[in-house]
Amino acid sequence: MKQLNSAAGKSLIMISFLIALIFSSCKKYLDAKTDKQLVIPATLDDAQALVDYYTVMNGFYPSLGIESDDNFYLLPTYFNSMTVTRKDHHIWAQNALAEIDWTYMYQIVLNTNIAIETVAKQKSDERNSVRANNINGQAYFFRASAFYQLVQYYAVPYDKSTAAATPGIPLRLTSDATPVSTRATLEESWQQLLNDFKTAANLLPVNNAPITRPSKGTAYAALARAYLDMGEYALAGKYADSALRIKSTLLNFNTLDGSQANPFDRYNTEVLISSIMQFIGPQSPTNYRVDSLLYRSYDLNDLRRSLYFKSNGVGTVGFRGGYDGTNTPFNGLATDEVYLIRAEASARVGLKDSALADLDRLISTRWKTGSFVPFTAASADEALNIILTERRKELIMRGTRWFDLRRLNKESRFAKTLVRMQNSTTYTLSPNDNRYTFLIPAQVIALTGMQQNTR
Amino acid sequence: MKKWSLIVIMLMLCTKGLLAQRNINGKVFDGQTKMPLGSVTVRVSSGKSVVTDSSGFFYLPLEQYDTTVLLSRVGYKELLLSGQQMQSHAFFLISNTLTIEEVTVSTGYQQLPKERATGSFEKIDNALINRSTGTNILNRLEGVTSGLYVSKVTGSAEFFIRGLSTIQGSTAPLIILDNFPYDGDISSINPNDVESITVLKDAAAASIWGASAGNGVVVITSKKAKYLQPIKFAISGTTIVEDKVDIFKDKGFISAPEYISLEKFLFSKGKYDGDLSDINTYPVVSPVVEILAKQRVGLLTAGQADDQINMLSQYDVRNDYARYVYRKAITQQYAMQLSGGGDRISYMLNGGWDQGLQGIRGNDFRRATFYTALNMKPVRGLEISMMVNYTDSKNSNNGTASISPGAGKVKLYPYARLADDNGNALAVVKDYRMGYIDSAGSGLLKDWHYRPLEEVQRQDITGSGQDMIARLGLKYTFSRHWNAELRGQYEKNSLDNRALYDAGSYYARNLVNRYANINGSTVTWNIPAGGILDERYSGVTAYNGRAQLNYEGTAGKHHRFNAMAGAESRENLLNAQANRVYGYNDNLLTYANVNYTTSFKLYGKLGSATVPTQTNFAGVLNRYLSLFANGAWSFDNRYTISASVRKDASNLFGVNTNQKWNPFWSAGFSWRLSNEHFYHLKWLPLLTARATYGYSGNINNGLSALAIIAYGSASPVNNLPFALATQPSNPNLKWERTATSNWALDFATVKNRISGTAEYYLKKSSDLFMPVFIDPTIGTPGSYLTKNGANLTTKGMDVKINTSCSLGNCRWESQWLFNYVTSKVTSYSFENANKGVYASVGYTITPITGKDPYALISYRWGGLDPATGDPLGYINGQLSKNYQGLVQPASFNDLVIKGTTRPPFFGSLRNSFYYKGFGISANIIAKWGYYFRRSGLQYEGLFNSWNMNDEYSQRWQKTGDETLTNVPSLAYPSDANRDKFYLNSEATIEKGDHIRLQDIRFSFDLRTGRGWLRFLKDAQCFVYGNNMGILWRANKKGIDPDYQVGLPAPRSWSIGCKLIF
Repeated sequence: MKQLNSAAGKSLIMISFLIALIFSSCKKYLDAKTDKQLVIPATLDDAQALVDYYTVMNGFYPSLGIESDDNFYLLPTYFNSMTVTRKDHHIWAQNALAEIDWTYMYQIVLNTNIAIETVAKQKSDERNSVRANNINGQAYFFRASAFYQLVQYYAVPYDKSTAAATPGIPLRLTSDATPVSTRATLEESWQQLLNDFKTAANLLPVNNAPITRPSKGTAYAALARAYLDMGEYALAGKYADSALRIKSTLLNFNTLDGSQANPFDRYNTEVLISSIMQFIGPQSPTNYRVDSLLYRSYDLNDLRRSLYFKSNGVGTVGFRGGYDGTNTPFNGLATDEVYLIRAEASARVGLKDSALADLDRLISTRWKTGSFVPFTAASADEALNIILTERRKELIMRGTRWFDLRRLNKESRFAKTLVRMQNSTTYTLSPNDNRYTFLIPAQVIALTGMQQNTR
Repeated sequence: MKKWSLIVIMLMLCTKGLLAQRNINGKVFDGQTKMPLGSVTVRVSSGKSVVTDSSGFFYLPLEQYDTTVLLSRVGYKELLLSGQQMQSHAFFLISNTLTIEEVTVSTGYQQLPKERATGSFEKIDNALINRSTGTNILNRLEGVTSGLYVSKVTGSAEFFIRGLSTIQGSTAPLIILDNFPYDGDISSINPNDVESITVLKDAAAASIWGASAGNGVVVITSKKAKYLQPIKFAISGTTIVEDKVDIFKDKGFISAPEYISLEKFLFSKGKYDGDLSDINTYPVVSPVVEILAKQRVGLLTAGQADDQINMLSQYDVRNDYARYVYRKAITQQYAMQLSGGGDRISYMLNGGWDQGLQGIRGNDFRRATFYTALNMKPVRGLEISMMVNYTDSKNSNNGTASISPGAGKVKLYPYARLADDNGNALAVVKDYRMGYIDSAGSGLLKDWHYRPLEEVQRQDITGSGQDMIARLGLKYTFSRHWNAELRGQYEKNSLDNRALYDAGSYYARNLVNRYANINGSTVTWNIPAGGILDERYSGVTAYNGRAQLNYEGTAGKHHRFNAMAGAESRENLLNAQANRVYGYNDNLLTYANVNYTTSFKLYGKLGSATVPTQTNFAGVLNRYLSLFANGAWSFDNRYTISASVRKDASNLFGVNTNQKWNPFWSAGFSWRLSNEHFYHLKWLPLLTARATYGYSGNINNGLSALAIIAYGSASPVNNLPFALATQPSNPNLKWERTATSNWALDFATVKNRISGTAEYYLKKSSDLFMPVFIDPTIGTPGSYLTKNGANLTTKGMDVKINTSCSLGNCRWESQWLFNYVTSKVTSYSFENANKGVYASVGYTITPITGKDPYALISYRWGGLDPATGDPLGYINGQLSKNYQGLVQPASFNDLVIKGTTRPPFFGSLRNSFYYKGFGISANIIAKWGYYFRRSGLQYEGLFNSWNMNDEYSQRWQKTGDETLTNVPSLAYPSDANRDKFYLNSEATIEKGDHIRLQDIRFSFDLRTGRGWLRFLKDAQCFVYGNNMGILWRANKKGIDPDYQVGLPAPRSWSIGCKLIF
């Protein structure tokens, strides 16, 4: 019996030892990652992967503008097929929702913030390497791009005199989820995105590949676009010039094969950065019918008439495709837009000839070889009128028309009342209407208490 | 070590000395009648045996090392004699049928005698498991397990043990195979290898499984080799024949003439004009619409068009489905078992082969199982057990019963033909207009037609699974009171899914054609012609280890103790990968390279796209560590107190959860009143009261506490790896907890004529996972984060009554199960402001504080408008046709909450009669006190997706119909909200109550041991019918309330035999 008890004792010790062994390594055992694809970001590779997330960084920009602007309309079949939200955008409904766009833009902000923080966590030699600067530059560029879209849709158009006292957008500059979101002023919002683009321009290399990543020239072009929207024409011209010094190539439309379903290449020679809109409309963007006055304003020798549009066989003309190489609306930056910015900036400061020179350079590549006649204007203002008309005709389904309407409505000579007929109801949108600004998602208001827009 | 061996040898010598006896002889009697028993096999451990003569006498000389003797006879309990017992000369065998068998239940950690357990265990013994047939073990539990409800309304079986204890996660119980959680596919377990099943229902039973036991635990106990058992060889075979599915019972159908007149109407309204004028993508239109379009442009005269349409209207696609798609399902199951054991070693070797043709042509399966168990006692005190279980299965899924035209159309038009009069496969519209694909590519492309019946031969879609479990256990008994166990298990489960679409399959031809670019007469194949092979592999590797110390002891005459404590670790690693190759030739194993990154122009004007890829990798690792202990003390067979405690930690859950000492525990008490001195009820010799309380938990593997980014594989646009921020950190995440209290009463009358158990339980689940809205400005995808926060209460009653009565050779047994269960969400703060979302079919959980989680919520129904047949509803109490408003009420005032879609009452009555070797048994199942929503007609779906419903013929057509029908009138253009309102209104609710004859079984034992059956020890044959039919139902529409998705399971008949040598 004594023997047995000592055996029991031995076993007890053995089992206790075993248990102790299991649990001593317990912490390490339980620290193992559950899903291999989940990572706590630590390396430059992680940071680069975050900004290479094409779907969100380049792929989900709001299509609110093209749904609402005056370039296109919808036949009842397609209008009726859309969800209430999309219908509301089209008819400028007062309580139209624009929730998903907010979410996607702030996803860009979070991803870029984590990327910036990850770069900052590197050892000092790594942190200032060419690669780190490049990644940081991309992150700042994308963050600014998101802020730009947000401020253009969720804040009123920029006005220098009131911007410091007008609510802008929440500026989340770190990945910390704890602080409650608040709206910065409109001035702060624009300054933030300008600063981000400038930081990006400093950090980015002159050439970056693939074209889904921004480069130095892309950041200059973005600054030109932003200053134009703010009405800072001299600065817009200056940055457009900087961009064109790096890349000024134009695509001769005569070289395109018009028999192809989509004549443009995704990475064609004009593209500075390739990005697209998250399109949720009437099934396909090709179901949009172009405004007949706009369509008729293209000369028969103007190749854009057949490359941008196609007949639907029943008397109307619809959108065909663009710089994404598909019929998904292109939202990136391209040299054609930069020429137009520089031309407008010149005209605005009275430099009629250099304005028209830029315009001629661009538009001559759009017409059938030999048919183009250079533009003439008696004054800088007349040149400005021509430039704005050509700007609308060039930047089809690029999302810029809505932003142009917002800024041009501030000048009475360019102000325009939009009118739409749908299911025998007439809808109008007068210049500077509150409905040029969208509502912040109700969930954001409910959870943060920030001020809602008037619409 | 030397000292140990010495002790063991000495002890062995010592026992041998005691048994130094020359022979054993005597008489065997029936324990009840005291009559002598012939034909009793008397076997000694060396293997020698004799059979008693008609006077019950036997004589058998013994060898030196014969230490035990086993007496056995069919119909009697085996009697094992050892030591002093062998010196007796009169032996009494006790009849199987008359004894109160000591039932032992298994928790996966311990075997417990049920009479001394305080918790709620439900044991399904071997006879009951084998009462029904089929290849899936879990399916045999329905209708015979008290407290288990099996729901089939969503198309697959969902198991609920005692209702709900979670609202977000899975309701599936934890499955334990012998000792460890089972990580494989349940269909890999061969029911022939299963000895018994124990369902652990309350906290005292289940909380030993801690954080994963919240939904209850099902412990499957495999057959075990027994010591001292003669070699036994058994073979069995079963064939199950299931009726062909009756497609004519499908509600999703409209007769061809009715459908054609609808198409004509829609055509006249211009419904198809958009599709017909689309010269880019050529969307699908039906043959009738093609004819009408040709007539409109003058290609056909009115007469020709009518003739063609009249011809079509005579067809009924259901005839083709019945003839060419469905068939009788036949399953064959074969099993063999070899077992035996001496006093030191026992073994069992099982093999199984199952194969079947499923109810849809082209689908079949086979499964081979191999199971072996070996137990050894190499030295005194030490027992080694080994088990290996291997299953290899293969399913082919080439057939389908839902042939769809693609392009958003879900069903074939009713006049479709799958084959011509000679049985040759015919083409039906698919993805594009027939006219388009007829001429597309002017002969340069692959044939673009879709012939559904040919596809079965053109593809090879299979899933092959291998499941291997190897287990080793060491048990060392070092005293009468103490023993220690070490157990380890390795499981490897792999599943290979392979889909081969050969070059002639529509799937391959369509992709090849889409990516073809034609320039003049040259074709550029961006996807090379040939077959497409998709392969998907997923594997789970699991390691389990456990160390456990057991104690059993007595103190004085009246005290009995048992206790155990231990630790275990568990790891399960999932790996998955998938890939695709194009241009594949299965005969030569060659393939072609494609460019995945370039966006190619598709054929014609179909747009542009990159070549679809299927490459994917995944890896998930779950780890758990647990400490557990369990103890019980019984006093004088009257009082038992039990307690258990368990602590879990895992790599899934928040740091805070793993750091806190926050165990799951339980306590129980039982009181055998009938053993008290003051108890004098002679007619009720057994009466026990039990009460338990304790906690168990629930885990959700989809959650993590860390702030993380997730990697994705290259986007085809830039071909770069990418990552995205997925969720902010959530460090306070913890297990869901369920507190269960259970009160029970066990009773039995004299001779067990009536015995039973009545139990009442109350489950309070807290910290349930609940989505919490997060500010989208934070930037994580998804609008909510999962946190612990919701609460749920479930209470109910399980009553089981068994009766048994014998008269001469007749025996009648019956079992009544009565179950009541009801749940209420007691706290949930994620309620939607639009109350309209709650009006739904009610099969998924839509939690609302204060309501049943499966509440059936409907729009208030105001009848049909007598003038137009439009459905009417109520907004703020006023009749209204504003459907957009009707489907989005802001309060519950305009909604009707009618009961629940889960029956609060269900039960069964199983009666069995036996006469000599014959038996007949039938099980009747009833469910009542609930409602369901039948499928209804929706015009939006009918017009756009061809989604039919036979209610169409009952629609309102003229004033006066509103008194006869609730089906709204046809309205064009359709209004999705009008459809939604009707579908989710009171008008589509039916009462679910019904009673069905689930199954019936005839069995007979052959008289073995003489004549031509003299080589057999035992033989039993049976005929079993399942899904026999509904005896009564409350709804008048002939709907089987158990089946909402898909058609009711057809009746099946099985025939089988088991022979034991």
